[in-house]
Amino acid sequence: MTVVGLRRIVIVGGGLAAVRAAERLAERDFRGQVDLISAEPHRPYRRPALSDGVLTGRVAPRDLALQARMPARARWIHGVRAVGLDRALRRVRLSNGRELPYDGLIIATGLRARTLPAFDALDPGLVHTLRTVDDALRLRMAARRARHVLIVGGGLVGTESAWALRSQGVAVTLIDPMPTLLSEVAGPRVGAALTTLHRGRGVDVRTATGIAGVEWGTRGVVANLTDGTIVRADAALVAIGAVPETDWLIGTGLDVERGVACEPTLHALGADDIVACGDCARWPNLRFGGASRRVEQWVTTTLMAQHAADALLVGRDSATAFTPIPWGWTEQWGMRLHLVGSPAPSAEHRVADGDPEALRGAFSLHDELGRMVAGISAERPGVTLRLMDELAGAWPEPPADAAARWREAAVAPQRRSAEHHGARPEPAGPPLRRFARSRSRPGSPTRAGR
Amino acid sequence: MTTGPAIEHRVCRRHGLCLAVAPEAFTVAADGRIQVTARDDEAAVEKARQAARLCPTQAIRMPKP
Repeated sequence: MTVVGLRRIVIVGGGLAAVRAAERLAERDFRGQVDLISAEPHRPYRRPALSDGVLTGRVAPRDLALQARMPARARWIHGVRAVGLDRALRRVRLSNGRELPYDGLIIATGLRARTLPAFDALDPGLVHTLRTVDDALRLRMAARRARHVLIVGGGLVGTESAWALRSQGVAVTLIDPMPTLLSEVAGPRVGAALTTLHRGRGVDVRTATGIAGVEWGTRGVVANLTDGTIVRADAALVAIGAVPETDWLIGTGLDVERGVACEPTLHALGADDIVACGDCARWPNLRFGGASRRVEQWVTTTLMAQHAADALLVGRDSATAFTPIPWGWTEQWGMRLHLVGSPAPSAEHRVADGDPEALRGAFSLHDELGRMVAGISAERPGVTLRLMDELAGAWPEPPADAAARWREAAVAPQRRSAEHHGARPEPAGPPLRRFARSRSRPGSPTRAGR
Repeated sequence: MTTGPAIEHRVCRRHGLCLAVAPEAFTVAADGRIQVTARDDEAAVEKARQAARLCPTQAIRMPKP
């Protein structure tokens, strides 16, 4: 079942979500034109392998490429950004001055690394972020010359990079404002165990600590920490999360606060012809109560891209709700950790079984009502599957008409109110503004995850 | 002739996600390695294709369709 008249699809983005959405169009035998706009010069590659693969030297950049069956009439446009959108004329404006018409639009622009203003004054050669393959190669080169690297941020990128650099003999100081590393993805107790693990391997971990200021030294970076100490390093890696690449959509009427806001079907809120997927998009997962949030995860992104492509093809009224059970992993010091369910277990969640401090076995995290919200397995891949089954039992798949009911509840009150005041119902979607100019806007802190 | 999916053991880190996505296509051998069990069953190979996409280390090689 395909929406009649869908002949040209534009996919904005060049990462995992973009390529998996394109691949799904091919699987569904979409015969029309598919244009993919990628700001990066490279074909899509595995981003999670940058920290645990490229930095460790385990994975060569040429082995990062993603394999995919693309639609027959797919066309890559590399090194070009989308800078504006005309929703009325259905055109994407590009940084090279061209305009691309579409019948259906897939937004998959992903994230850009957050930076710290305190580091702006430094020689850019000393300061790194880790988001792209070029970032990873540049950091690896710097690490070969460096004796000491300062890593700001103890999320997945920060901790995996600490492992990668420390295991190659580089001294690493890792600072994080929270009391433990990885607290946002693994919860406080597992986070504490991981903090101990890193310290045991010689990483200088400073928790509950931030950057008070930075300056140049004779050797490189001199960082004054909020605990009053000073760290001198040859280079700094700023790994404090990433922000959605949505500036080009500001002023188009789409809600892009904290990511592109989507309906449960992954249609952009109020749009029939636009879907979004991957790290840049947030949506209410109706399986888990329906709070609108982003999930930065490899597995979820692929499933999301496939769902978004399907949703675009079948149309807003026939599309179903996207209700995955999040599944993520990290590998540090040779230890595999699997995280299923809520990406943000809170301090109130209690551990029902297993021994998180020992970082061995599987355990589940429960909310104050006793309901399981997440499962974590350490070096026990077999039981990850059991944890997923338990989560699915606690949070069953919502009924087939859940998306339609959600939309009715979200849209109907506004319409009723408009009719009550004698006004004509608003047309679908907010007012359009032609080719809104991109402007930068500070993003909100985001959760590291995959 | 198709040859079915294949595991690159050099790359595989035994995360085991393939076992959840395509239980009819993969199994764990006695030595802990993951093995391919379906080579000709078209439905199982299609599920294996999805497992190959989702594999964290991209250790599953698929034949060209």
